[in-house]
Amino acid sequence: MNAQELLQRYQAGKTNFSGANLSGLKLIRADLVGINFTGADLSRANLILAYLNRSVMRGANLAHIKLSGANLDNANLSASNLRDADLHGARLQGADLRNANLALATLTDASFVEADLRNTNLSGVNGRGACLRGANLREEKRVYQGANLRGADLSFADLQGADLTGADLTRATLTGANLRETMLRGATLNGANLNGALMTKATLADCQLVKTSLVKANLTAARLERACLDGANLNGALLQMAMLVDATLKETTLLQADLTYARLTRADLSRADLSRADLSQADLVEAHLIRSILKDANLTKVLMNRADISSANLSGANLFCATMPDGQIYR
Amino acid sequence: MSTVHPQLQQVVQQLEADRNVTRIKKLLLLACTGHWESDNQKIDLLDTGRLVKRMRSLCPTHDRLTYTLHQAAANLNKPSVYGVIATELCNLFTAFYPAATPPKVRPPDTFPTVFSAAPPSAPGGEATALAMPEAPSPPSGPPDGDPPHPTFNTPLLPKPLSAYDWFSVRLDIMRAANPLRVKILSFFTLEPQTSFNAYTWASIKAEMLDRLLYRLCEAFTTIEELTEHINATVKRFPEVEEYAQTADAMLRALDRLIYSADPGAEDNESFGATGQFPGFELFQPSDDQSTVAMAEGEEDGGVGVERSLFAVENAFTRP
Repeated sequence: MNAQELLQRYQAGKTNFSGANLSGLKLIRADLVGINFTGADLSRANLILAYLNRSVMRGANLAHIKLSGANLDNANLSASNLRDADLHGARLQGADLRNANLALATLTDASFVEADLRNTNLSGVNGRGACLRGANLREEKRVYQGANLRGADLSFADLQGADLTGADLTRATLTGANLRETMLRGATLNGANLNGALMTKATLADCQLVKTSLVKANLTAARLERACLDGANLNGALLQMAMLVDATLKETTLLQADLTYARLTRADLSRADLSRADLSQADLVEAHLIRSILKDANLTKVLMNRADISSANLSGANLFCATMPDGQIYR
Repeated sequence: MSTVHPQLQQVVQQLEADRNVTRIKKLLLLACTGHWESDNQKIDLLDTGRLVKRMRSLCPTHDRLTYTLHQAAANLNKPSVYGVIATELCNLFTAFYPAATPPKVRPPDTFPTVFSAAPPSAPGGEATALAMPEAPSPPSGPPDGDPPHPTFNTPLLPKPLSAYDWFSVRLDIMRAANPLRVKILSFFTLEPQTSFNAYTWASIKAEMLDRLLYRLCEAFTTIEELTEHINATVKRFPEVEEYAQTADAMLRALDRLIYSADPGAEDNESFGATGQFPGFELFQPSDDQSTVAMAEGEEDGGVGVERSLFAVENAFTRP
């Protein structure tokens, strides 16, 4: 079937093209609203700026398809193969992409607002500036695995309020991304780059953040209970009022980080470098500060009851009114 | 048709003999396309002569050249290094801008363009893929200055542009309009003298949406001025209705969230891809794989735009 034939049939009222072989077809700017391409082969087809709202492409082969600027609002793309697809500037608001394979796809400036992306493979995608507000990428035990975003580039992407519970973001790039109030519980972010990311009130409890770069990230009031941040770089990060109860921060660098009012109860900060960090009024009760460096740090009014600071380097630190491990107030 | 300047060969030879030739080509590529290429091997394959000609054709005046090169250099994370290169290039390029330059009309492009005076139809009579505007006709009046490029003034806003929440602006626009059309419309409003060709398409792909929006607000100080320029751009598109709807969504959002925003509204900490987020200076410029290498191995084209990209890619990378 060629493009003209398809358009004629569609205009005559036929909307079901399930299983059709439409590989390489050119349907640029075509109006195909509500069309059914279930199981069809549209690999390498060209649908730039096409109207595909509410279309059904369940299980379709869409590898290398060109959908730049296409409108796919509320489309059903579940279990489709979108490997290497070009979705630059496309609209996929409220689209169903469950179990789809988008590996290596181009998603720059695409809109996935409130899209369902559970168990999608987004590894290696170029998603710079993509908008995923309110998108659902969460893991659901025995139903959906967490989304695979390994090595994805989501710099400056907007993931505010998205649910990424259990997602795998190993070595992903999220520089300058908006992750305010994003749910990342149990996610893996090892080796990821989150420099300058906005993570105010984000939930990162039980996350793996080993050797993650969070330079100048804004983690104000973020929840990082039990998170593993070993070897992470948090230089200049804002962690005011952050919840780091039972977190491990072994060998983490926190130079000039702002940890005022942060809760680090029972946190493991062994060998962490907190030089010039601001920990005023932070809670370090029962924290492990073995061989940690607190040179010139501000520890004003910090609570360190029963904390292990015996081998910590406190040279030049300001301990004004700090509660020391033995319960005494430092004068 | 292309115009070959008698001193082109000499300038090219001089550039190629320079020990900073890689950086020179990187800067020229960035200034021409908006694309930053960090792979030196790819840079080595670029034809210096074509880059120079392209730069010359994009900048009808020496002032425009100076502005474009320095603007590109300033956005890199080694602005002083590239600033020196920009200055050297400006000096070298004076050969192409003699004092007695007659009419400041836009020189013809030396690269294949997708839409010439009569836009070609795609094979089989299909509509052309991206019906883009042609550059406006050269001015018929006295040639007394630069083409009407937007002026970069400080907007008459109560707070710096970087203090607005560009994520919200982008979301607002994306909810109501097609992101690709927003980018195309923004780009041609900012670059009214540009016709659609491989370079502009590459620039549109490389530059992020909120960065383009930011540049629009930087260029037009009032919503009225912005409206006037955007509406003028809309009229250049064959698909006026679609772009008029896009323009309407953009203008509504920019008016509500930028131009008429309550200055006392919550102070957001930042700012999308505007280059203003905390620690921006720490990061390397983007290495967007999707621009230069976009059509490798493609045969169908289908879209005039992409065919042309492929042609330019060949021209650029194959000596």
